[in-house]
Amino acid sequence: MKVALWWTLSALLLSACAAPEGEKSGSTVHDSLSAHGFFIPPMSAQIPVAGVIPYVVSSPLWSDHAVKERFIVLPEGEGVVFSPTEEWEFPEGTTLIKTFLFPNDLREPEGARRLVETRILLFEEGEWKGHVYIWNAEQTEATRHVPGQFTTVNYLDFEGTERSETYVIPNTNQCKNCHGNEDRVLPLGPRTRQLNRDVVRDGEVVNQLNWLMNQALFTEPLVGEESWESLPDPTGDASLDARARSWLEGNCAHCHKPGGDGGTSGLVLLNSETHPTKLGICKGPVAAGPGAGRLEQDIVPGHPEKSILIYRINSIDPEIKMPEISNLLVDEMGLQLISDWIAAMEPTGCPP
Amino acid sequence: MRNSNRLIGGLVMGSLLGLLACGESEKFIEEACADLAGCDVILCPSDDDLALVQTAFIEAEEGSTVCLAEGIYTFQSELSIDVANLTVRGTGMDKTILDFGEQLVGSNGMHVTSDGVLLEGFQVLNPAGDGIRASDVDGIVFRALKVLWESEGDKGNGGYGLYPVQSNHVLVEDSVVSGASDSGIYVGQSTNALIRNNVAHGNVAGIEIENTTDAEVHDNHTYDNTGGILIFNLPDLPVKDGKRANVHHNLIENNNRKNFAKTGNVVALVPQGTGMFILASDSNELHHNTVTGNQTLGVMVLDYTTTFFDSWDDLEFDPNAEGNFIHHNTLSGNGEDPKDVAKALPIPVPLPDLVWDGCFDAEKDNSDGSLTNCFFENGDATYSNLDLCNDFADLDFDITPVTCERPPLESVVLE
Repeated sequence: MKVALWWTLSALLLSACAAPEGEKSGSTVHDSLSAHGFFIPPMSAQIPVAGVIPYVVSSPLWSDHAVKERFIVLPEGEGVVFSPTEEWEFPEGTTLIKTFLFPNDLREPEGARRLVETRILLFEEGEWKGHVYIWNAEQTEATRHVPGQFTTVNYLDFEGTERSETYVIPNTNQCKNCHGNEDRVLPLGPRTRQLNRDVVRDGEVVNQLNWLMNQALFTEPLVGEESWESLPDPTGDASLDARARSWLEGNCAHCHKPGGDGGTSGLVLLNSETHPTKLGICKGPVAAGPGAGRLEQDIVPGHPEKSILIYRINSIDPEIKMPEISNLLVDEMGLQLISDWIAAMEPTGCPP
Repeated sequence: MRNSNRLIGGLVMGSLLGLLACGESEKFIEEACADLAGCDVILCPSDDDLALVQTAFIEAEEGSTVCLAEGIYTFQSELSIDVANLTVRGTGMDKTILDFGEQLVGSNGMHVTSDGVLLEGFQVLNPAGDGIRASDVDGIVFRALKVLWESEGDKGNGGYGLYPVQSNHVLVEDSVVSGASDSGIYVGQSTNALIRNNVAHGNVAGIEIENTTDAEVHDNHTYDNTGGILIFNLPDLPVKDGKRANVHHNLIENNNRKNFAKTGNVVALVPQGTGMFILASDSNELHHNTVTGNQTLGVMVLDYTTTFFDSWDDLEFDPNAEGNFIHHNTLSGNGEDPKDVAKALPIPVPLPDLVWDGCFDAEKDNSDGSLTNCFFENGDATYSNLDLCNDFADLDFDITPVTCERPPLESVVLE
C-alpha cells in the first residue's frame, strides 16, 4: 500500500515538475564563477582578464566591514552611454561584478583575506538580473546559490580584537530590495556621482572617469568635466554636510527615492534632495510601525537623540534597523557622521 | 536549459526525500495525496528550510503552485516572492507553520512583490517585523492564513500582520491575526480591497484601512483589540485621499485592550476601548455592524485636527471627514468606562454610542448637504456632537441635524 502510494506520488511530482521548454535557454549565466572567465587564475587574487575593468565608488553601502572589489564587463566593441548627472545606459550583455571579502586583519586590507561571495548583475533582454556566487573554503571556486545563506566570518578588527561574526548572503530576490525601482532593477554604483573621483592607476593619480574612458568604457569621449556630479568620500575632508549627504545617498537613497521601496514613506535621501520635509527634517513617521521607537520625527535639528534616523541606523533589530537587509552590525562611522550632522543643525525645534 | 532542468530536478528530489522524512504515517501520505492536485512542488520541513523554501519560491514557474506540507518550518531570514501568479498553499493555518522566532534579517516574515500571488492555508509565527507584506502589486489573495505573535500585548511585536500596501485588487479572507503592535490587517495606500470573514484580536488595531479607496470590509470579527476597525487618511504619504470604504455586517466587540503601540505612531493615539472610527476620510458607509461592549466609544467620526495629531506639510491633504453614512448598526454597552484621552471629555458616562467631533471647514460649500456625515436608523443608539474644534462650546446630543441618508456604496468586485 505504502509503496504504491509512493510511486503514485513520485510519478505525479515528476510529471508536474518537468522543466518548461526554452526557459533560460538564452541566458549566459553559469553555475560556477570560474566558467565566466573573469579572472586570471588563481581566481581568488581577483586579477581581472583584459576587458574586465575595475572601478571604485565614493560612497559605498556598509556591509559589516566587508571589503568590496568591483568590475564591469562590456560585450566586445560596445560602450556605455555616459550622463553627467543621470543614469548611464548600458549595452545588452553588460555584466557588473562585485566580490565581498574580509581581510584577516582589517588594519591590513591588502594582506591575507577570505573571499565570501561574488554578486553579478547581468543585463540581458533589456533587464538586469542578479546572481550570487558563494566561495568555497579552499578559495578556488564560487558556486551560484539562490536562496541566501548565513555564514561566519573571522577577522581582527581595527583594535586588533578577534571577531567572529555572522554574515548574511542575500537570496537572489533580495537584489531587488536595493536595486529595485518600480518594476525595474537598476545598477547603483556605476554612475557619475559615485565614480567621479581620483584613483591611483599605474602609480599615477588620475580621475577615474577619464581613466575608464581610456579603457574604452564609453561610446563617446567624455567632455565637460566641470558638469559631472560627484559625491565626496564620507570619511574624507569635505564639509560635514557634504559627507553626511554622501553617506545617506550611498546607504539609504537606493530605497528612499521616488519609486524605491522606501518611497511609500515619502522620505527622500538622495544627495540632490532639497525639500526639508522630504529629507526628514521634522517629518513624522506616518507608517513606520515600531520602527519609530518612541520618537516623533525623522530628524529633529540639533538633536540626534530625538531623531528616528539615528534610532534606526543604530539598531540591528530586523523590524527597526535601517537599511533593512544588508547588515547585521551597526556602521559606527556612519552613525557618528549622521549624529554629528544632525547635532550641528540649528536647534530650531519642530512644530507641534 | 540544462541548468533549469537540473535545478528543478533537485527540488523534486528534495521534495520526495522530505516527504518520506515527514510522512512516516500512512495518514500523512494519504493527506498529501489528497492535496497533491494542483501542486507543482511539495515541500516538507527540512534541516535547512530557508534554502528549501526560498529556492522553491525563486525557481517556481509563473502561475505554478508550491505546497508546504504540514509541519513547522523555521527561518532566520525573510522569505520573498517575486514570481507572478504564484500560489503558495499550506495544509491549514494551524498545521503548516512558518516560524520566524529566530529571525535575524528582513523587516517582514514574507514579502510579495509580484502580481497575482495567492497565499493560503499556513501560519506566520512570531515574525520580527510585519507578517506578510505585499507591496506595489496588482492582485494579491491572503486566504485562511494566520499571523500570530505569541507574546501578548508586547510592543516589541511586529507592526502589521497582513499588510498589502500601494496595491490594487486585494483580497483578505478567512484569516486570523493576533498580537500586532499596530494593526492586524492593514490595507495601506491601495485600491479595490475586499476584507471579509476574518478574525482580528489582541492587536492594537484590529483592521485598518488607510489612504485606501474602494474597500469593502464585511463579516469580520474584531475583539480584544485596542480599537476594532479604523478608517483613516494620513498626510505626507504618496497615495492620498482614500475614500469609499463599505464596512458592514462586522461584529466589533469588547475592544478594550490597553494600547501597546509605541508612541510616535498614529495608532498609539487610539483610546483603549474604541469600536470604530473614521478619521479624515470621506464617503465611507458603515452599516449593519454590531458594535458592543467597547468601553470608550462605539463609532466616532473625526477630523485630523491638531488637537490630537501633529501638524502636516502636505498641501493636498484634506483633514476633514465628510459625507460619511452610518446607518442600521446595532450598538450597545459602549462608552461605559472611557479610557485615555476620552476620560477628559466633558460629557457624562456612559459616553454616547455615536460621536461626531463636530469639526468642519466653514469655507466649503455644503448647501446640498453632501459634506454632512449622516447618522440614520441606528436603533436606539445615543449620539453626541462634541464641537471639539470650538472647545466643546456647543456640545449637544441632538441627532436631528445629522439624520440623513446617502446612496449606498457598491460592492467591491475583484477580477
